[in-house]
Amino acid sequence: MTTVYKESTVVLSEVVSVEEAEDLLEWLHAHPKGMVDLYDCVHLHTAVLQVLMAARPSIASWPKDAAFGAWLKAALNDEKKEY
Amino acid sequence: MNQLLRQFLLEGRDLLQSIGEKLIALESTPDSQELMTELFRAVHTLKGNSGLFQFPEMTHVLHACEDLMDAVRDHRVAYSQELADRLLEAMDFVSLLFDNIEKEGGLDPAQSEPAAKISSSLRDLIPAAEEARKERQAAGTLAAQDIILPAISDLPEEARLTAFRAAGDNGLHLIVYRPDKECFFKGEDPFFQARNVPGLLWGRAVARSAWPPLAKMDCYRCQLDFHVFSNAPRAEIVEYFRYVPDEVSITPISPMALVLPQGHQNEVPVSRDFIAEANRILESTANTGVGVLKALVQKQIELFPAGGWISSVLRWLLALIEVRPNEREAMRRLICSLKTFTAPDLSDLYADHGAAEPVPKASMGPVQSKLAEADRIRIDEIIDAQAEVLAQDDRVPWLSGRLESVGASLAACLSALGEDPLELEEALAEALEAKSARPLRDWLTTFREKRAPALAQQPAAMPDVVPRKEVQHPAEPSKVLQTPSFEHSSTSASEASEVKFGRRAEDALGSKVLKVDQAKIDRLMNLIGEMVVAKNALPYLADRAEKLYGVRKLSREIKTQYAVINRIAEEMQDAIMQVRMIPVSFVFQRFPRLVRDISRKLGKEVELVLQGEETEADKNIIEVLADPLIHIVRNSLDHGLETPDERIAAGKSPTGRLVLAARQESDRVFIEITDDGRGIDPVVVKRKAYEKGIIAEDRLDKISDQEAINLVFAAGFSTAEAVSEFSGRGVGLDVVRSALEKVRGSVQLTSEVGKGTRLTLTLPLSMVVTKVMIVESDRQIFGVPMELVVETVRVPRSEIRTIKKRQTTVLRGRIVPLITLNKLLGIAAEPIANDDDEIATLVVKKGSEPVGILVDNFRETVDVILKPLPGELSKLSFYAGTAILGDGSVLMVLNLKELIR
Amino acid sequence: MSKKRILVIDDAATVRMYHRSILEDAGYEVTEAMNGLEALEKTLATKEAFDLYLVDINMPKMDGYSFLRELRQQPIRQTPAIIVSTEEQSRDKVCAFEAGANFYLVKPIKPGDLLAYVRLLLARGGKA
Repeated sequence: MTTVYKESTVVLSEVVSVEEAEDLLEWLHAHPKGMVDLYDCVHLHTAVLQVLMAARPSIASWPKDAAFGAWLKAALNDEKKEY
Repeated sequence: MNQLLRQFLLEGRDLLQSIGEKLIALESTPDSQELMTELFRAVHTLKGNSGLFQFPEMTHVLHACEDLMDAVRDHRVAYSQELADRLLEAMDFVSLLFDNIEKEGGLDPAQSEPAAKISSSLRDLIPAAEEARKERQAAGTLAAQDIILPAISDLPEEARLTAFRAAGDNGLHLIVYRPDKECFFKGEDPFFQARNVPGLLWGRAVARSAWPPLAKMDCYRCQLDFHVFSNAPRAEIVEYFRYVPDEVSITPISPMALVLPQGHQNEVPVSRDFIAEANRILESTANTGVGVLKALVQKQIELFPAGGWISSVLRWLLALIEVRPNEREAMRRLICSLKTFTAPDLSDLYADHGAAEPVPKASMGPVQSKLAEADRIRIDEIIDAQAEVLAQDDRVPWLSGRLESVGASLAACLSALGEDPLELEEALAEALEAKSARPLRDWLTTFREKRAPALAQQPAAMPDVVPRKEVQHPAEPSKVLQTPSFEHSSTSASEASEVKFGRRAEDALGSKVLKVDQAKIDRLMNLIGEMVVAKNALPYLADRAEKLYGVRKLSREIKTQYAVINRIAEEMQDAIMQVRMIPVSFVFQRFPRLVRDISRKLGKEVELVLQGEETEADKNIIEVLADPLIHIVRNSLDHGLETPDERIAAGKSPTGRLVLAARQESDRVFIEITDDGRGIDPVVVKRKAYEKGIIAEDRLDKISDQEAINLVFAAGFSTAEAVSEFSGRGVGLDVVRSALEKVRGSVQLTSEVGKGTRLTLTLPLSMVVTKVMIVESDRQIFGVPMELVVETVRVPRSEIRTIKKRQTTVLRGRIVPLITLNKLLGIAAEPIANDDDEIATLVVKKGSEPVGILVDNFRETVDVILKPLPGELSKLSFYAGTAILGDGSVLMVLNLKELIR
Repeated sequence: MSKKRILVIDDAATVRMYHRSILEDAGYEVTEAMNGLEALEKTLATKEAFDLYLVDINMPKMDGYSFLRELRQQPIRQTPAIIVSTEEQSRDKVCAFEAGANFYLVKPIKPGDLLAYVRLLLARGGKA
């Protein structure tokens, strides 16, 4: 399982597929203070990425893959609104 | 190359030719409605055909042609010389694509750029193009030109710095990728696509608009754009985005355009001393000065807060010094901006830093000497080519030119390798003097010998300046990126997938379906095909267990086990076939429009009735169906159905009725095309057939009406003149028949004068596994496709009579001609009767008449994968192909239709 | 630095267009000729010599081989030339090299390949 929901944290690992997007969205909606752990994650499907971008949850830990982390940090950390 | 593709190319070339001819003809008679219609149809057919394959480039262009022709037909656009020119040009391009396909079995993705150019040049001629574009925009699919580039200043400095430093000889491109909103349903993952862009230097995901509250968010619509910097060659990027050319814009960016300091400006100014010193260094011509400047700048950077203007200017200065030490003017202006706090205008320095002109060596230092491995290989190829040129006969008047060109080419290679051309020049001079290639040849031999060991010592591949960011993604690198777990469903069978998608299943999914690469399904299909054959080995094994090893019990157990595996394999085959199934409506849906248009043109009233559109068959089969159906429907409209006046005169309702009905019966799909028109008059057919030399005079009186009607399928029957009277135009029914036979389908025609005509097309559900009956003849076994076999009977020898030297027998009150298989195959042996003196007879259909084929014995029927005969053997039309049997032996499968023709 | 000049010789407008678009995108200056004769005329008429020729084989009026043989006897005769054929046939290749081609590519050429070979063949001034 690439997505594990804990009490206040969701752990995303390896490749998170498109099908996880819906559940993740619901969980983040239900847990506005929920944290996301991305340490073991190597890829998020676009659908999952945009759920994270829309929800902007706190990130418990960034991916250990630095290049991938850079993408996510740019998408999830940026103070500026980009559109 | 598969048969379908071959046919496509064959037919396509004819179409291209006729399109060309008609375009020319139209120039003299631009008002000819008929020519126009024919032209349109040819283009349409060609486009339709191309859609059968993965040739998006060709389909794109033809689609544009079609739209343009459509506009001309509807008088929205006037026919003009220019229009004809562009269409002809487009046809040239399509023809080029044909060459491409013929040679490589597919299209070079790089063609998508010229294809897009041609398409848009065609569409430019359509006045409504603008509206259509807006429509597309509204529908969420945007053409590339609609993608708005972000301003350079909106890109983070870090990204620009990275890109600036890594811009190589291939130039630098800013890619803006705006995926289709529905792209997830096509199995795409744009994020993955963006992360794997060749030459990726930097990238980011950007929301298209403000995010809605989570409760209202639809996470299955893509709302992200991607911005990426790449230093890969443009062609490579284009190829990478081949499947979504409309969704990306790839813009070359001059690295100097990226030099744009940014930052807050409420800070202490930089010291005057620094500025003075820096300017002094830049004015001096000494090369060493740059190094000093670099050290100065590095020291300054530490003094200023990173978020400020000055720090930013200094960072750019540093980057310039390090990457483009010759851009002194730019450095000067940057230094000036330290005081002015306004960004320097460098646009006059954007000079051509494209791929064509490598930056002069001196400025690039060691970086320049790095040569890509691919280039080393290419240089070797060029050198090899020169060796071949030098091997040619010297005694030609153009020898010196040839030698000099070799010299120039080799000098270029040396230059690319960074080697000294002196020896080469000497050898060339010597060769020109001696009027012989020899001195150059000798030099080349030595050079290549020197080069070979040098090559071996080279590190395998020099690392790129900036390491490509590899993603540890389990999926194989593939052009169409698929998320492995996507369900594909064309049927309602995959309810599971809908459940998974949860609450929005009803509104978001509906008819939407996630797509899977067809190649993957084809692979599954092939595997299950092999599985079906492999399982057939088990009964043999059971037999051997019993007969050879005498273990009857084991044999029984194997048989039981076989039954289980057989059931699973069959279910699996069924399930996989289901995935490939598409409904007939896929083809039917175009008919309402077609029928409406054509009947209106012809001044006829036609009611089109579609039945059984939900009937499904394999994608390939359905696609093969498209063209024959169009021809048949056209025939009915043109010649079958009468005008309202004629119909009233004949006592029919003024509106004709055309029914397209599909249904499935066991493993066959039936398509019936029925009209209530004037029908086909067997007398006329007979006369025409006789005039065309298709039947001999003595047969005229003997053939039945049905046989006469079937003559319309004869090759050569429907030439233009015969046709104009009652059937077919351009392409005759013989082509329809052969198209169907290629997929092991068949066509029957019944017609009654004054009442109407019915064509029944019969097609297999799927093309992969064929049911074959094994027959024995002269101690050999042959396969016969089951679909031809009407029945198997054993005819007592006493009941076989010879009438006029032909063997016949009576079956169910009907005289059936008999032929021995041996005779058909040229085997000089009589069929062997069984102990009761009966001869095994295979009753097959020849047209609508039964024919008995005498064999020695029947054996079992098996499922096989029919493989066409390879190479030259494929010309043996008497064989449909070969199949491997469960015991590993090869079965020759007969093409009975050819044999008894 | 001035742009490198390439003469694309082919009777098929589409092919010319194809090569032109690739080469121009990469910053080369492209001139077209419909056959060998026109190519020769353009070569002789131009003030600034071409840096490279892309030559089709089958063309009306003057084919690619004849063009090359003529070219190699002109005052500026050393310019590298690539024969662009529709067939990978060794016989054609030999004819091409005999006539004085320096490389042989088979249509349709992938843009990446075309650009790479062109770049390498032009690695020096090209007008040595």
